[in-house]
Amino acid sequence: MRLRRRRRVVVNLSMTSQVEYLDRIETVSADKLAQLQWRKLRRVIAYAYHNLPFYRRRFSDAGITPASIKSIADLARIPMVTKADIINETIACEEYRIGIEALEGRQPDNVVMTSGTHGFHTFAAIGDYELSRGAIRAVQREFWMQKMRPGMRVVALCPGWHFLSLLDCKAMGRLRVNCILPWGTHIPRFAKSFLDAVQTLRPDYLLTMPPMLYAMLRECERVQVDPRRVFASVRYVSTVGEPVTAGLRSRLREELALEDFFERGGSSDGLWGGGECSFHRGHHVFADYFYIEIVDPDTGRSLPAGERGAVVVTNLTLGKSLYVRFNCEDLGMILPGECPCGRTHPRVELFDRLSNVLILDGRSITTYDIRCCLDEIPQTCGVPFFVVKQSDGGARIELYHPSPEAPKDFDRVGRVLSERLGVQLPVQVIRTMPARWKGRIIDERAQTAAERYPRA
Amino acid sequence: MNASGDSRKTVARLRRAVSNALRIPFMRGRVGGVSARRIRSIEDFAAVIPPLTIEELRKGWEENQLSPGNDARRDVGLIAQTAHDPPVYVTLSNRALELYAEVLADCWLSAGVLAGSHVLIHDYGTSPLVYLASRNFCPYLKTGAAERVGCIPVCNDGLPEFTERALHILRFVRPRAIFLRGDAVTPLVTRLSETQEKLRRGLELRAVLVSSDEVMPLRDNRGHAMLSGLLGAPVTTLVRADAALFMASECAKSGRLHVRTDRYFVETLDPTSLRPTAAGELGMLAITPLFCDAYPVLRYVTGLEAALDLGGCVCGAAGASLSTSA
Ligand SMILES: [Zn+2]
Ligand SMILES: [Zn+2]
Repeated sequence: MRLRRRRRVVVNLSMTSQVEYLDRIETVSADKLAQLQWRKLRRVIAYAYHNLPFYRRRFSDAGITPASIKSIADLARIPMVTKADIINETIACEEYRIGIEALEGRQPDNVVMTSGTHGFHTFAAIGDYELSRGAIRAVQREFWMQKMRPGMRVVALCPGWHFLSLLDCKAMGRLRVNCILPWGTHIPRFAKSFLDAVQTLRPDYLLTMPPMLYAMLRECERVQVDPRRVFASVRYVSTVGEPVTAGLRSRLREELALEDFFERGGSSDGLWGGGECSFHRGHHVFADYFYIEIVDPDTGRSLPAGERGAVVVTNLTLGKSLYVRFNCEDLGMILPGECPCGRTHPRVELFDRLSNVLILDGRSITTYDIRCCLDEIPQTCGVPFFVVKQSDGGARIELYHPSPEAPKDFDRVGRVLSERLGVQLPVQVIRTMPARWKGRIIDERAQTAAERYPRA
Repeated sequence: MNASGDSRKTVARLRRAVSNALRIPFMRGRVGGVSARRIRSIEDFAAVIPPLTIEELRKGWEENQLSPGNDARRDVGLIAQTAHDPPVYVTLSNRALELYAEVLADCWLSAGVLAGSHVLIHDYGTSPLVYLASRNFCPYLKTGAAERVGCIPVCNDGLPEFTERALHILRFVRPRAIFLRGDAVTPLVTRLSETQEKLRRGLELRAVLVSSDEVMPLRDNRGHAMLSGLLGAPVTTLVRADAALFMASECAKSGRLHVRTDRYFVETLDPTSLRPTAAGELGMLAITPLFCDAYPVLRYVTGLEAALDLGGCVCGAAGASLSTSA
């Protein structure tokens, strides 16, 4: 199959209910969208079967060919791919290319890596098509939806190892923004550099990850400057990497005097992403680029909108490592109903990695649920916290409170957790933050997670 | 002492750099009422333009005299922070980005990087080692070093903690060249010496390029020797001064740094008087990048000590080369 050149998209800046869309397809009817998805799915499935050894083998083992898939409902017959499958294949091949690279015989432009959950980084090959005419358009729409406009100054990092970061980088160029690269990477010890970039260059926009944003706020506290003054020029912040609850979003908006605070999500496993619109009703996932299913993590059964399950993605564009029914092992939900913004593309809420779901007092609970409880109490809204899985099998919550005087209202936390989630969890106050790139769960029982290489 | 190459061309380039600089309030303030036409020789340049220190540069940013805004620099798409504490910033027009990336590609080629191979880059996204490496790592860059040389880059973030991940890339991607931050050498040597020889033998590495900027020790001879032994490939140094968009890589034959005199005007200055030193004499390296229309840093005094030689290199390369004090 040839990678056909996409029709040039007409930029539509119509003001439907004061929402600006980048592309007409954002509001196309659900029927038309489903037809388009089906066409793209068929193409992708046929390409995978005929050209990619990894999928050819799995399809054959399951006794299916592209002809067996006659409707979207039949998609469930295609075996799901797990991260473990990709890891095992990488180890078996002793090579990053494992037969999922839909590059039409061309060399990749870049090789990217996942962030290494399961202690193993998998790789993906990215071709020029994807970055010039593929999913880059979905990211451009996402930025546009989140109010990024030409000429704005945007503080962002472009670490070349992450797929979504390559897309961000190219999309910022397409949107003609002024891009400011702070020194370092998204871990709290570089907060000083980020803060200097904001203070010195007065950007309009900040693209970052929640732990970095919190670290910047703590840095303001440490050097005793008012965050509102430092962030005076910043109109929008958009974060990626961990969910932000409604309570926390309002608090950050207030604290930094922002016009809006957005969240983005997705995964370098499965190469997909989406973002919130101004109505903050989940992440719009552009259905012409990604097909998302939510399945029961135990049975693999497809779940309807409104039910939580594992996020499964199928990429609808070629020109990169192709993921067909890839189980991202993230806990998510397709939100039912329509979004007031008028976009017809599905909205997905992401809660946490499935492996981070805590079974407490017999109930499945995510850090997102705990965050929602904390955000109900004004004094703990937005306060950084960690869930510690203790070596005795129990768990506790640690709340960060740097100043020595006793925190107000922290004792209410236990009560709210018990009322809302039906769990009894001890709450402890910590004065120093663990330096973490992402993640809110600390497992005291865990062995060294990093995969170690055989020693001599 | 300065590296002028063809002096008529150099004077013309310097005059252009000064003329660009005079559009920026900060530079106008530093040179008084002088016009670019006043620069008729390299000596004029040194007499008229005062050396610029990192502290002065920082002050310029703090006072908002360097930030691109309502002046003629509308095509500036990228502003990168340096690793200095406190940092300064470099602003890059689209044209300057391309020329800067070409300098990096030159360094790759002179280190022996081959077309068609994978290359591992272990540094932060803000490092020019990364953002100039591929058109996909930097908004507005059309042709990065990888596209110029024909390589496939794979990045690892610059943290020393990510050494394990570098090993992972070595095992599964098998790059033919590695570009490393200077402070990543020791952790990599430690981990490599713990791994099985089998992994190292399968590598077939052609080049290892260790990059240090002026805020890092220039080179760790022992570390480089150990790395070279473990990886079975020559290790060369790429020296940077990010605040002046400077890069030069070490010649494998002479150990000197080859400098592109069409891109940089380099001088060595006496550390106390900041007057030019004599030929071959050690001094503080001062750099005037000649391709930066949007960011005209003139006579930036780096933290690097070097001696300048104009007589060409033993490898046969004509032009200027530097020997550093390390
Ligand atoms: Zn919406
Ligand atoms: Zn030489």
